[in-house]
Amino acid sequence: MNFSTLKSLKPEEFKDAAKAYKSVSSMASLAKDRVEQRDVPKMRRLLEGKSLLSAVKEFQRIYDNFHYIQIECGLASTALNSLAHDLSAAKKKLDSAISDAESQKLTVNSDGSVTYPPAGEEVDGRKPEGGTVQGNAPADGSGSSKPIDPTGDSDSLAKSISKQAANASDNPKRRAAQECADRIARAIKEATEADQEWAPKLRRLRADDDLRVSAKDWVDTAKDGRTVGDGLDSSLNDVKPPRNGTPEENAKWWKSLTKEEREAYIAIHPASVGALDGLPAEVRDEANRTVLVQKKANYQIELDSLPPPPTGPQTWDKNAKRREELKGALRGMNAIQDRFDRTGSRGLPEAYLLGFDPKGEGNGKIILANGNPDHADHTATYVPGTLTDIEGIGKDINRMENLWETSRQLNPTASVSTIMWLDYDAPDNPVTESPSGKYAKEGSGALRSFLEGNNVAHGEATGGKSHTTVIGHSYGSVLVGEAALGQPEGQPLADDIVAAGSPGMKARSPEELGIDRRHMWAAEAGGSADWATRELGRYGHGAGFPPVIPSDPEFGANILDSDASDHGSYWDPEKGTKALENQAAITLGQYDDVQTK
Amino acid sequence: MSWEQEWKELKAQASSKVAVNLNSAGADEPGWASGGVKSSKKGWNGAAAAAHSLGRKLHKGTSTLHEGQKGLGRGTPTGGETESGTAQYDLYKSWDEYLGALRRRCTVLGDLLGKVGNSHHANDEETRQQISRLGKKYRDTDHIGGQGRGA
Repeated sequence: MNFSTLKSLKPEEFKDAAKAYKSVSSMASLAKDRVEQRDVPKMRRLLEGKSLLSAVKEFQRIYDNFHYIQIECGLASTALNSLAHDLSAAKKKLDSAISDAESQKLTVNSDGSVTYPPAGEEVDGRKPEGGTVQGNAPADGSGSSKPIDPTGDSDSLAKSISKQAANASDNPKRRAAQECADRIARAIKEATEADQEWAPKLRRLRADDDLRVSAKDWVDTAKDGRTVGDGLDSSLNDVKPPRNGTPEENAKWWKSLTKEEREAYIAIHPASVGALDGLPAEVRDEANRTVLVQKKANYQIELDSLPPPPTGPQTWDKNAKRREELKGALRGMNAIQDRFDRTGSRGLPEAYLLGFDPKGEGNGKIILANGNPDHADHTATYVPGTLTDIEGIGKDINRMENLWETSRQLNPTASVSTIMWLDYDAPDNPVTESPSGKYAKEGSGALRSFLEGNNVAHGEATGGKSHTTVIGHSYGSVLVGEAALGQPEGQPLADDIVAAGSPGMKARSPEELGIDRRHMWAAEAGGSADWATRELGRYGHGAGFPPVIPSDPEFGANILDSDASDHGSYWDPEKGTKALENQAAITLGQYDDVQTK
Repeated sequence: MSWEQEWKELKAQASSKVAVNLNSAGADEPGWASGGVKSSKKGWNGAAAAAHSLGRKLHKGTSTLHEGQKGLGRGTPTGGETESGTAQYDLYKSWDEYLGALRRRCTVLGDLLGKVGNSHHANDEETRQQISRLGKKYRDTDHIGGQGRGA
């Protein structure tokens, strides 16, 4: 870039372009939400048959196209904004140097050199001669000490500068001219660097040349995010959430950002945004959906790249473990996608992915809400137990769908959100791991933070508070107990707590958990696993001696009428509806409808 | 049945349940719409309108992009003489093409669904084939975004 280019440059043109890309990204985001939340559900209500399915599939592909546009044009907008910012800074320096030069009666030439007039004390009846100086910019990072000259003939320029300096050293204007020329050279250098840095990055963001969004394309969007992130100007790069911030601090930070800063942060750091308790559900969902498609693509590509298992006499497969891990995680990710696809069928509300990481604390992190918790009057959060992992997460997702449906059947006008929360290292073995309290203890902080984050986000959105219920199943209830015990005095974990098939909650009574016994509920199921969980588990997780668990009369909880036939069927209407209906009534705060023993 | 065994079965049930869901999402037999054909004119026309509406949004998106980068077009001082201005122009062309192609995809789909809606004797299998054929037209190339096109 040379002087005249920078002088006539309008960085705001890049800003205008950034705005346009952002507008297209938002359009795509809204369009995809519409496809998922309105268009496809409506088709499903009115149509059926194979033709409906192929039409839905085509709409889902178009959804992917819009999602791709949303991510990539969002990045393009951030890149162009950052470029505009860098160029504006350089341009400002240039303008200020020119204006200073003019105010000192110096002339800035079209090549960026500065001419000064004869000035100073007369010598032999003549004023010291005027002259022209070229600017020097400081050396770049490569260590070169050559003066920066955008036109490329720096050596000869440097010589002429020295010569002029020698000839005109007694002209006081020379120093001022040199200073302006140097400032001009520095501005040009900065603009040139920004221009050269962003040009290839912008090219990277060009659209794919086909309409099929493949795994490679999704992986590419993640790479693009990193590329743009690497080049961000410092003002955007310094945007960081508070370190280990509380949900309130996170929310405050988010509110303090400008629109542009928020957009850039979501585009570059989707995983960070998606994990921040206290941020609006819609923001977290958008970010986590980006992480989901990108991770899913990564896993798929890795799985496809593994050689097929050996056949014949030599059957040892060194990739067997990894293959199973990848397949399991993909199964879970597909189950999440299936939930998105079910929006509208059976009246299901839109889904919000409030947390996602295929690894998480070991078994995967999946937090999925049916209905927006920021606006729901009633919110139920379910904590699953032993053996929960990403591979089988579809079953836990289904459970909270069933609770949502049952709640709506009980009160069709109620505003409810039911949330499946997996963000801890659930025990993988009921015999060797479940007796240990460490998984619950370690995970309890994350649950508290999540619930507090919901309260904060709900408060921001509505100015009020949601009626909250936390449901712990099996080992999940141990974690709920630990979380409740960690709450400050006078601040119960939730308005209602339900323990289903609980082996104990590290407490002898609801009061020890900080909750009024009228709002503490416990349920049992048939089958030997439920019995064993309670009766053997109480020695690990019950409190007092002999150890007490929530479904013991001595504990003091309301014991729910339950016809769940086995440990896993508290939310399965085909295996008993009473426990499910009772939880729905609690979730809605319709306590008169709760049937207890 | 021992409780350990029951645990194992629960786990197996859970996985198989998910597997069924997966299959149903992948294949053409999900639970919500198996069985008869309730091909309603309203449903197909609604779907057609939805596809056309997406097309219109894309059309608007194309104009927005065009307007937004006007100052960066060829021959303008900012766009014409900077490397990133030229790069932006390439970026713009690629997205202009992409939005246009997707718009055509939506329009073609909308037209087809509208035809189904207005046909008096739409056959489920025939309609399925026609719609599936549309989707198959869009194949993945080796290029990914930001590459190809001589880059």
